Amino acid sequence: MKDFAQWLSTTAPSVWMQVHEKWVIPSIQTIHIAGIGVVLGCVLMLTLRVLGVAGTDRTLLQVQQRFGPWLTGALLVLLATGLALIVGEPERELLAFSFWLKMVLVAIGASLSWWFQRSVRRDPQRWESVLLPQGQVRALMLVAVLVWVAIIFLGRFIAYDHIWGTLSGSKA
Amino acid sequence: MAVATVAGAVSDSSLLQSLESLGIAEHIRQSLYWFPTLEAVHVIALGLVFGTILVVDLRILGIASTARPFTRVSGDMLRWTWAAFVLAAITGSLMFVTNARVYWENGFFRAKLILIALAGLNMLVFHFTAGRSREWDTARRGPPVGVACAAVSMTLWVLVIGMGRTIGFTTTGAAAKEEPATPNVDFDSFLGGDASAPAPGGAGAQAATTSAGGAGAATSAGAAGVPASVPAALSIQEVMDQQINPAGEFLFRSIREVSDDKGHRLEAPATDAAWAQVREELNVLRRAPDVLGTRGIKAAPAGFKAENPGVESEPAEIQAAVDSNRADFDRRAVRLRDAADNAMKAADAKDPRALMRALDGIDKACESCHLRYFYPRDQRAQLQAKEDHVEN
Repeated sequence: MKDFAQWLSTTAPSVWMQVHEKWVIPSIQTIHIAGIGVVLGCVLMLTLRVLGVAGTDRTLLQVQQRFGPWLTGALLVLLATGLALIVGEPERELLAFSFWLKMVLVAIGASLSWWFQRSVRRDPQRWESVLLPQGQVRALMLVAVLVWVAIIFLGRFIAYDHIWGTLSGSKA
Repeated sequence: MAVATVAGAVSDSSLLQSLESLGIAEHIRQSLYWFPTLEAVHVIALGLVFGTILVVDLRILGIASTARPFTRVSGDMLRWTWAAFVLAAITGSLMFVTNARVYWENGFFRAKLILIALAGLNMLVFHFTAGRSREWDTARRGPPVGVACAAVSMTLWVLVIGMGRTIGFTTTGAAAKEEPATPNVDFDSFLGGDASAPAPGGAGAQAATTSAGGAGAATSAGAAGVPASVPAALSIQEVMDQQINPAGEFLFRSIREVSDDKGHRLEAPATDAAWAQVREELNVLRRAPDVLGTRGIKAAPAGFKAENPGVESEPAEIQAAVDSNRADFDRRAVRLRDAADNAMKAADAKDPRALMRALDGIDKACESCHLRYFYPRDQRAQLQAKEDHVEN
């Protein structure tokens, strides 16, 4: 991984970003954080609807149709800007333990989102009448929220990877 | 005008300094985890502010949630917006007080405050215009003034995020350390060398005590690419002078072998408080990669000159060396942190001998970086380093 990161940092796009890092990196991070905002807004509304706290004048399917595509779209924006940030600072990202832990949680969070959206679309009736009242379903939504919160924490902690001690590969 | 007056009054007053000396500010600075945790919570909070406001703005613009009455959408969202805003304000304030003077002098920080104020003003405008009318509640799109407010709102909040992120690139979360109470000890005389390369003193120290003036001077550091109006973060010289060197001086003073008429002995921290102080100073060194790893860090404030020209490199030379060997420079900062980590183990165990050995590692980490970037032309220091087995 270290070799790959070092190679990546010598490629033309990476070098260009490093030369212009003063504005390129903060700009991409700004889009990344705005994307996080959209994800959080969507996850919040879907969760509140499942918990019966907000959006109760709409069916779950309607709420999913409103926020699902925005959630997926924002995740794609996060993927694109995230990849760009890796190209811009390969060693900072790829050698960080926080980064890889974050990627594992992103895979879990994205899978949960995909499964939830597909399931609601396929059988909205079952969701409304059977699943919504179940405590386990509500608990799962809260777990998903926690996963996204943990992802945001780990994203910020990439900058402080030394807290992981020997787990961190970012020690040169 | 009024804003400028207030800004001036805050800069001149000792308010910022007293904020920095608050117990909680000190506590956050000393901890490895507090600051990053505050940052992460801040990102979550501002993400919720942006995400929830966006839902309302998109409704007004007729882009999303158009089938729902506007008041329903805003009723669902706004309490979360406000709760998240309060959380963002609290975490933001806590980060601010850790380094109030540096943030206050940062143009992006001020721009962010102004943009948030404008966003609030925009909200008021909406509230007293389109927000008063219920006629368009179920319409697909809000009235023109509402649409304008929504567009302005989205733009302002993206800019707020942008400013916030840029603050992180133009300052550091590190402490603006006070001058040590004890007179300056020549750090480099502890490093096995001699007085040929004393630590840079003076200018940076003054920058710390006359906050506005000092940071203002750093503003014009504006090397290529940095607009002159953008206040720079602490330079390498200031970080060394205000943080790293005082910590190092304290540590090297805290333990030493003494030979006098009472015999040969090791003077070491004797109380829990003394060991706690050692740990505190070690924590300063442990932050070296964070404070020295700032993107675009300047070698020294504008106008700063090498105190021993001919031996020490001039700021421009140091700048060139650091910029073209960024990874190497970072690695040396990490080496200092690792050496400090090592010493921390000794301090945790309150083991004077182990601390003595670990301080030798810190000494070598300092010297190795100084030899490469601070006084590469100093032949005597280079020879001494060979004798001391300092890897360069």
